[in-house]
Amino acid sequence: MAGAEEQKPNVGDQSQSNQINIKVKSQEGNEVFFRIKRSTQLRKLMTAYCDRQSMDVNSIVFLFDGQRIKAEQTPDQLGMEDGDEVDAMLHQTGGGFGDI
Amino acid sequence: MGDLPCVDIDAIDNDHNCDNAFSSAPLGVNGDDLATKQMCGLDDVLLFNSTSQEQHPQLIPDKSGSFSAQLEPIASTPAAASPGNSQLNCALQESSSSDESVDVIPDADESMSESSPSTSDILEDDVTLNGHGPSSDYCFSGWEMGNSNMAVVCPDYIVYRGRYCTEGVLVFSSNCVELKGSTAYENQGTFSFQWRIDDIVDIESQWSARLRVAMVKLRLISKDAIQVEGGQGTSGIEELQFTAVELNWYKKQEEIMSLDVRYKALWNAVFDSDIGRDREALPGQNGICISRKRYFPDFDEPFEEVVYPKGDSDAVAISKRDVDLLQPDTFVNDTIIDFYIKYLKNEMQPEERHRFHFFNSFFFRKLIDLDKDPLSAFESKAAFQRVRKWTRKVNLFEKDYVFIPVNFNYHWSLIVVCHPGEVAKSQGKFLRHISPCQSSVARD
Repeated sequence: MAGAEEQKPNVGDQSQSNQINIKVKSQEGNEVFFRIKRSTQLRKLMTAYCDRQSMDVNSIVFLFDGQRIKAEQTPDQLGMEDGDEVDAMLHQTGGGFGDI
Repeated sequence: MGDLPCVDIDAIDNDHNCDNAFSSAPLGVNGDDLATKQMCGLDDVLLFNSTSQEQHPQLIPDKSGSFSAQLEPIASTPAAASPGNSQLNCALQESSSSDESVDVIPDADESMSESSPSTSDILEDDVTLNGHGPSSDYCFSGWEMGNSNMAVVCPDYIVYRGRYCTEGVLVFSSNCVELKGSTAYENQGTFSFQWRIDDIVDIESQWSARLRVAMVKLRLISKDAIQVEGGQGTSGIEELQFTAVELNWYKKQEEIMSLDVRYKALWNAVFDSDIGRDREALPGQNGICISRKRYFPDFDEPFEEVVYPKGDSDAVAISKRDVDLLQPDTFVNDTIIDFYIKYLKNEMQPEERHRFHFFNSFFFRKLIDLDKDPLSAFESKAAFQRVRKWTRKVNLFEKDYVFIPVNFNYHWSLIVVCHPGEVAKSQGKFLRHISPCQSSVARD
């Protein structure tokens, strides 16, 4: 039942607004586009991106307008629009002053 | 950039069902007390321990040990039973608000004729002077005579029977070792333990010159075993570990060893070896699990991701991987830095918060575009475009202070922009009088 209901509106205009294109930009400036449902967890986008780039998901931080994206969040929750950009940043590590 | 691949995420696998495909990353929202506890305790090793420890049943070898107030008169330091507690209480207060002890240090140096100078001796002196137990006489006379028949260590933390304690004091005397302290646990109060030197199996002392930290492990014959000498007593070895920041641990060691030859025999000094080395329990002893990391508690037990602050759209999710970076000699990552910034922010008075803005650790990297073309950083328009959306909801010029963490060349530092609004108001007229860091941001 539920499945059938979801299927129907997926045609035409509805699918347009239901899915958005998101640009994932690496630190080096490379861009990969993803189409994702507004209600799909961004975890999928993250793993898909990392798979493509052959990178470990844990080594990358995804930022949307400077905010860290958490895997469970959806584009809807973050207010993402079609064409929005996500930054894929490598984790930064470093030390501080103190060791002599 | 010509033909950009476009991936249809939803086609990869059939959408929502994937929720469970990725193992436990709990939403911050339904996180619980545990998470909060852990977060609050992050800068305070103690609380953190106490929660993580609940997952370490092996650290608590016997459940019987009611940690509070276990006093057992042994040998020459007969601590009075119940008054002993209050005595310890005051002792702890003394040691925690160590004003006095700090003041008196120089005197200690002078009057300690033969033994090495140490701050903690004085501290202990306070302790015993305040308490009116029989032991105070003992200690006091020892002190008066300038005779170092006891050595006191005030460790940063002590681990015993799976409990962590940060305000404990260890007193080595010529025939016993005494531990006094209080646990971080609520309602646990203070405690005190004593062991005869003969009850000590060995003492392993490790000193890291770089960290200036001594990590010491005493293995002790379990007291419960002695009590049930009848036979079926579970003979076991207990461990007491402590970590002390001592500028001159060598002297301290010597001081302790000079108390009694038996200490010397038991003492097993390891210098600057690697911290993570494991050591097996003695054969025949029923397994007391020794935590592998000596300096820091064992986080080998996985814990769920912690989201902080919960419900915040810009929350930081801390995983075990990140916490592992808090080990000594390890670089910390952006998650730790960002967490701490959030933590500091949360600690502020709510009515004060609007005065400050904290960027996360990626802002600077993005603004300067370190990875692509550092020179283009000076094209402020492009730089601004890169981070324009980051402050959509914030008016930076209303802030008194703007904090920008910087990671450059494997080094963390911080830029603080003071009163950017002043620059905006002056409309460039007085720019030359303003420090560069102010103007560079203000121009954007």
